[in-house]
Order: sequence, then C-alpha cells, then structure tokens
Amino acid sequence: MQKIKINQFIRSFNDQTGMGKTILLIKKILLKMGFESNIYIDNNIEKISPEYNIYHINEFIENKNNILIYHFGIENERHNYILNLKDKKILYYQNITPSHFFESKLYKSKCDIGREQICSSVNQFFAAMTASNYSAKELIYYGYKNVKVLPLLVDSDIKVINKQKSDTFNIIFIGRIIQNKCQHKLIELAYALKLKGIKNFKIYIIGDNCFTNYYNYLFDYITNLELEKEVIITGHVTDEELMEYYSKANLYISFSEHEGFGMPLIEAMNHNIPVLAYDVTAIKDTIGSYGLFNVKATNTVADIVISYIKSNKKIEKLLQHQKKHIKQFENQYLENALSKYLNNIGVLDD
Amino acid sequence: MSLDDLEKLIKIQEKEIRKLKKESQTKDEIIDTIKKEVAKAIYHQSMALEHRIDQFLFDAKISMKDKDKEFNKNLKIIKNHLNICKK
Repeated sequence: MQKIKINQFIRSFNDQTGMGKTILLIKKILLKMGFESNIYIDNNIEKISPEYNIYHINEFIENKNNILIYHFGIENERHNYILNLKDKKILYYQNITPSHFFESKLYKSKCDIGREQICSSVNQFFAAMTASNYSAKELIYYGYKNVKVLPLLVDSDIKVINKQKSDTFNIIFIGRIIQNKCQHKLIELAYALKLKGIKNFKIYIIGDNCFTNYYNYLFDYITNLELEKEVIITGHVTDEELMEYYSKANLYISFSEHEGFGMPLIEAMNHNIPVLAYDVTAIKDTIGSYGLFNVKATNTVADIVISYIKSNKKIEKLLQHQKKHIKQFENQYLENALSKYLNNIGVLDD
Repeated sequence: MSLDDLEKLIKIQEKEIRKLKKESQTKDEIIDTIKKEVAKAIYHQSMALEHRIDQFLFDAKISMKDKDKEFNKNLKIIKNHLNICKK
C-alpha cells in the first residue's frame, strides 16, 4: 500500500517568521518519520529561495487519502479553495491578533475576516493543532475537535551561540514593529532606568517595520526623551545579525500585549538569555512560571530589571528554571508528541 | 532706481533674512523643547495611569480571592447540611 503524504499549506512563507520556522520544522520531523511531505504557498513564490523546495498551491495534486496541514494566522483569500481540496485537513492555528490593536482598516478587516473564516470552518477539519493552551482554548470554544497543543516552533538542533563580552548591559526584544508588541514600553523602560540612575545599558528593538506611523512615533519618542544612545531600533536584520544580537544580549524583555505563542522568547532561552515578559495571553505557556511580571507600569518593571542587572545570582537562577522549561520544546520530545498525535487521530493506521 | 539704491536695498533685505532665520531657529528650538517636555509628560502621565491600573487589578484579585474563600466556606456549610439531611 502506498504511504500517505502529509503536505502543508500556508498563504505566504517567510523563513524569519514564527510560521515559516514552524513549517520547516514540521516538514523536517515528517520526513524523519518517513512521510513524503511538501510545502505549498499562494503568494510571492518567486521570492522564496530554491533551497526550501516550496511549491505554488496551483501545482498541488489533491488526493483524498493524503493529509494537508493548513496553517492559519490571518485572512486567506484562497480559504475556500483550500477547503475544497479532497485531502483530509488538519488545522495548525497560529492565532489571530485581535483587531482592536490596530487602527489600519485593512489590517483590522484582515484579522476580523480571518477569525470569521476560522469560526465557520470547524467541520472542514478532522483535527487541529496549535502552539499554546491559550490558542487551544480558543479552538475548543469555536467547536474544533481533536485539538492538540504542539509547540512545533523552534528547531532545537540549531547551534547555540557563544556569548560575547560587552561593555554595556544589553537588553533585546525581537518582533515585528506593531502596536500590540508595545515596543514603546521598551523606550519607557530605558527612560525609567535612566531616571533611576542606571547608565551603562542599551535596549535593542529588533524587527521589521509593519506600521510606519507607529515606527516613526517610536523614533520621535526616543529623540524627545533623549535616549538616542540607549535605545536602538535596528529595523530588518539578517540571520547572522540576529545571532550577533543574541550573542551580546544579557536580558530579553517582552511587553507584548498579545502573543499566540512567542517564538523569539524560546529562541532567546535556547541561547541562554534570561527572559522577562508581561504575563498575558500565551506568554506563560511559552516561558513557564519564572520571569513573568504582572504589572503594566514600566517604572515598576524597571525596578525588577535593576534587580537582575545587579544580581548575577538572580540571572543564573532564572536561567536554570528556564532551561528546565524549554526541555519540552526539544525536537525529540516534539517528534514523539507529533507521532503519538497522528496515531491518536488515526493517520498512522491508514 | 540707481545702482546705489539697489545695493542698499539688497543689504537691508539680507539683514532681514538673517533676522528671520534667527527667529525661525529660535522657534525650532522652542518647538523641540516643547516636544521634549510633552514626551516627558506623556511618560509620567502613562506611569500614573498604569500604576492606578496595577493597583486596581491587584485589589480586584484580592477581592476575588476573598469572595472565593467566602463562597467555598458557604459551599462547605451547604454540603454539611445536605449530608445531615440525607442521614
């Protein structure tokens, strides 16, 4: 009997985003498990490096015996086309940011329509996966069956960077520059640290510009609070540059108000960087119970940060806890979990 | 207009330009100072608001815990009563 294929579809692919990394990791695990597996996309196929072996969805050959993992995170114009393919479908829900975070009508509607699509397609999927309990609860609320939390996100086989010594205490945050990630709070943190007499530090805001008005506002806020030396907005960085930032980072801080998971936080922990994050949505699933803060006031957070700047012991303790926590994201664990899940939903019996 | 008059006029206008430039520079500096003060005010105002939110949430959590305790206490009493009634 011919072995079934487990293919994946995503609207558009970017190897630097969480979704992109998830897809590559799932493909790697599926191939290791002995399945045939391809990735299909709809947009910008010409921009994808050939090394990834990615195809346009128009080249997809449907087969009712095969499985299609459909990655979903925002409105998809070809949603009905994908649903009408004969393959049995598993949803991988990447979570949709609530539209109230955005002022752009276009982005608002993309989020709202995306949510409508996900709510109205419950019966089209025989199973669903997602990265966090937070997202799983949402799927169960919509009525999805066979929902499994599988944080197939960070390839733990990737080499851990060597730490570089730096003259300054370096704080980083990685993520698209967008309102719900609250990068302005990092600027406020720098100001609070400065007011509290901390001098030798830098905060690197790393990520692509997604909303120009917010992006420009951040630069103005930095200039007006006279923090040009302390806060650096990098814009888009290459993989090599990102590794350079990881190698120099002493602390990772997230003020984000909404995370379906929070992949850079796992990456940071993988690179032995202590992570502090505002406890909201799926952050607790991502970093565990240590390193969370529950306060919004940045000058209170600054006191927490100062306690880490001044105490190596505290940093070591946090790292120890976080090392234990990230064991569940190691490839071997994820491979076993995925295999068990595919078995439970009857895929391995076919 | 004679050449002399024209030269005089040019000198007057150059002086006027220098004066206007200086004025506009001063205005830019004033605007920059205002921008900086507004940014600081935004920061402090935002801290004040966020402290109030944090305090409100903290109080709400405590109050929820107290209510939970009271609810569990009452539930225990009702369960005991039910057990007595069953007997």
